[in-house]
Amino acid sequence: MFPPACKSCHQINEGRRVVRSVPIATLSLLGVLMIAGCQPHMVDQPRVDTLQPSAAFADGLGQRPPMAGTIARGRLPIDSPEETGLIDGKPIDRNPLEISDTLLARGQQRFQIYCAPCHGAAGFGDGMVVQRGFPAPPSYHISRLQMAPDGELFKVISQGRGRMPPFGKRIEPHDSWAIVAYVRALQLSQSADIAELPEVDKLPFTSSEAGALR
Amino acid sequence: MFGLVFFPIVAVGLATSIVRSPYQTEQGIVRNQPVPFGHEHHVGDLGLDCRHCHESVEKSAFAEIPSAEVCMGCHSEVWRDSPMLAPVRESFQSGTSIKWTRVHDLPDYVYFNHSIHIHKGVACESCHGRVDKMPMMYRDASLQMSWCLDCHRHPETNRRVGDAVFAMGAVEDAVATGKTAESKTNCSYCHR
Repeated sequence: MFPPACKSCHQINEGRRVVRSVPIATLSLLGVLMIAGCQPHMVDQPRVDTLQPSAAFADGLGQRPPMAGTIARGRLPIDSPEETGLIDGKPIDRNPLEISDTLLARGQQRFQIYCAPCHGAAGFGDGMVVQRGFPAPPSYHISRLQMAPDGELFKVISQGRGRMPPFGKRIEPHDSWAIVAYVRALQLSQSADIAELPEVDKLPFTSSEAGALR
Repeated sequence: MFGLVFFPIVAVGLATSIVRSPYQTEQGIVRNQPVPFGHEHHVGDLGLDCRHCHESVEKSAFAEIPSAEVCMGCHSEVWRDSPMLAPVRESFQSGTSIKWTRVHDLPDYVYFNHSIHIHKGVACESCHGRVDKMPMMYRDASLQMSWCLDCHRHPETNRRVGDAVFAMGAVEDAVATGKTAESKTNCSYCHR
């Protein structure tokens, strides 16, 4: 009825074999449960990992906020113009960083991550979040913002303004300045005088094909 | 005699499949969260960059769980009265953390670092799957060591260039072909 291999269990009239197999089967099953239920304690070691709670502090937070006046490694004193965008409480005129392709590329990337959702990719204040009901921020291409000093833009990024939340904790000063530089480039892109462009960049505006497209 | 061989083999096989099953790895299992946050909506529909919220992913071992302050950046206005977001508003006002259920949790004896994987061009998607198609977050991968080693032994097909690292879905020309891929498989790189 059964192939030879199966007979060891299935021929129940051979009682001797069944008696021998049952303890093995039981032990094996027990082994399965022991292996499957195995949760070594080293998986969760008694230490505080990032964002884990800790009973050692009254507020229960394992990650401690920095003490007032703390200067992070690689950062300048908290009241320096590079960190605040201000000198004697007044916004500084020019970006303290040297404007380069690298800086602008960095600024563009950071702008698209943090700013474009509301301000829109070109800065007209028509980003995706605005399309979903957030009150529209002003366009970058109004004269008030075209005239605003670099330090003013930096201050708004780090401290927020109106409904815009502060980004100072999330964007490091170097990146904020890169964003300021990129916003300036965006503004220029919408307001530059065609006569001032290099010859090669004038072509799209003067050739007949481009004229037809417009 | 046959049982002596048969049952232990079945037992080992059964144990292995249990250990590798979602029962143990939590792969594909959606966990309850205090706020039903949807990556599908925020990443897929809105197109937010991963780094908008997980801002430390490029410079730290930990990718950062955004604080209620980050949520309120938009939800101070959008869905401002939604009961679903009540825990977020409460956390923002009181400063008490929202107790999210962690979905991707490695054993404490594994020292994983997000930033180095990002800088070497391993896409978010390669480990976390298509989060833009996940209404609620779950583990896309088993996170078992054999899965880590699959990539560490053949990293060349899993590397992208530039911001394609943060993109979802197949990205044309994004694979960093021609780059030599050196990957660490020493025990002590991950198990210190």
